[in-house]
Amino acid sequence: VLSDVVLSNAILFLKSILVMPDLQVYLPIADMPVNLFLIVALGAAVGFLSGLFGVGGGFLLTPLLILLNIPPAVAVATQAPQIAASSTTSVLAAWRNRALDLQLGGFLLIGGLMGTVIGILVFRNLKRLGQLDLAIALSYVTLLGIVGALMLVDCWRIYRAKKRTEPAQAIIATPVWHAALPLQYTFVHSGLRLSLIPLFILSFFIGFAGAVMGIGGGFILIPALLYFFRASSSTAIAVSQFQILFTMIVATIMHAVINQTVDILLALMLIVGGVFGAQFGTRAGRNLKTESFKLLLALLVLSVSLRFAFDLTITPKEFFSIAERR
Amino acid sequence: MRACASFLWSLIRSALVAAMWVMSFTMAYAETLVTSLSSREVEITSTYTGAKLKVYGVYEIIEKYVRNAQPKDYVIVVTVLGPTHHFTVRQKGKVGPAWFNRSTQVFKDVPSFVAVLSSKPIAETTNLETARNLFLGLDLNITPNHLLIEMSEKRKEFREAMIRLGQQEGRYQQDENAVFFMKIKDKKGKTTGASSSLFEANIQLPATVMTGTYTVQVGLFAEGVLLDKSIDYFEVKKTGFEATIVNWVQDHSWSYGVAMCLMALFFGWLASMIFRRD
Repeated sequence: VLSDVVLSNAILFLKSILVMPDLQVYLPIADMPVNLFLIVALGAAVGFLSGLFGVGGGFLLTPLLILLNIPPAVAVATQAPQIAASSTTSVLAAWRNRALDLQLGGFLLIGGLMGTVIGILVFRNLKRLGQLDLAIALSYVTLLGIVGALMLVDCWRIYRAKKRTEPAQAIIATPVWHAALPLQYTFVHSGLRLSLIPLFILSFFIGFAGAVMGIGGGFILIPALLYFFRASSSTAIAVSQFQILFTMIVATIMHAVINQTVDILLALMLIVGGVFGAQFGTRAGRNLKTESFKLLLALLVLSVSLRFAFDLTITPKEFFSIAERR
Repeated sequence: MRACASFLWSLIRSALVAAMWVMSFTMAYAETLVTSLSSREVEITSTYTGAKLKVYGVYEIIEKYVRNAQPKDYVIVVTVLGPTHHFTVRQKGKVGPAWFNRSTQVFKDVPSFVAVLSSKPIAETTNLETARNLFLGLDLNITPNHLLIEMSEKRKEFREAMIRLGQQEGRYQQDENAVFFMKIKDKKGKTTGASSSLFEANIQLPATVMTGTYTVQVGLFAEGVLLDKSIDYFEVKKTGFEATIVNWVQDHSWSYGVAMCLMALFFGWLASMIFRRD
């Protein structure tokens, strides 16, 4: 299968460029040994991509961890502190540049936190019912499928615009349909007048998805704020990173207390790899042409989605499984 | 006549006594088994990827009382049992285009690790009846025979899957050529074909094991009969860092969660300090 080949080659490539020694480290919570350098390299590679494109990367890292046989429950929960670490850096930068609208961020946080709490309770019940892996796989197929397809379309548009030597179209003007909704509120710092209802729904959904899928949600939140709510890009990035930071802090604590699936060693490896990878990604993004990388990323996202879809629909070799021993 | 008869009688009597004497000594024909383990503690540390233990032992034949002893064919059976656990086994079914877990069976108090190691196939060692009574074999240690008989066909299928998956993980093993008798050496130091009474077997623990007490039972068999047995224990535990973390997570999960957050914040802050653009 194509996506399988792409992924295994990506991992092999990572291994070969780093001439990776096989240093196995036993993860105390996941209860299994992993290759230290592979995990750090994975964190760094995803961090690099996220620095390059300005999105969190949780939507790539969690599935890759699952493909490395780390229990989905541990992969998702351990993703929370990793995302918190990378968004700390972004929030600090936004704070220094005075780009952070605390009012808007604070309001997003209310919905985000409610979504997180409910998401973690759903996570626990799915785990108990034995349907957690399925739920995670299904959400990834859907989400990554949509995101990957959108990215491909975006690449195609840029490519076509270049070919015709036309200027690439600016942001598609969407009608401000939410202007008619009640509960309009003016956010002074960013100069936006918005209805609180769609804002709440959006932030709730992001918080929920973050807790269940191990993603920050920046790659949904930022475009939504840009296109639907007409926020400036600096405001959108700052505010979404602010929400992600705090929802992920709450998610970390709740996963640790309720599900007890946060692995300290795995988190440490991912964080160290991720924060430094992201910095190099940001620098590279300033010098490199990102279009070809964008295509690669789109293909990678789609292949992860296909891999999950494939695993779900192929007749399994083994019909039985033993629930996590815990 | 009377003297002759009494003489004959005493002759028969002494012959009987002599026969009983011989028999009593044949009854005293005995073997004892002494075993030991290479280690009684297996530590799961941050470099643990599995462990290997050795069972050593020797059987001794108390021969001095024996007359006309035929050399027997001795068999050693080693059974290693890990701590028990409730196992939830799930079966996938197709709904629409996708496969997902549809039915579930729970097996209570099943050993998480079973290794049955012997020097000969169990079937050749003893009869089925004895094997069942003494729990010889992987199957019998997972579910005793009387419970297996009562099991429904569906549940049996789940049970077989549980064993198969355990075997793939290396938690369930049955090896009928895993106990080795050391060869006797002649005076020049060359090994002869003959086996000594000294034996050893390797216990291979996989990367995923449960912590707790493991028992090692060794049985000495000949002619289908259990002659002697020994029992020993070893402990698998998380030590050092691993143990600290597990205890922390389980007993003080709030502070663990908060510490995870502080760690994340610290690294995020550190990165922004190092890579600051001014």
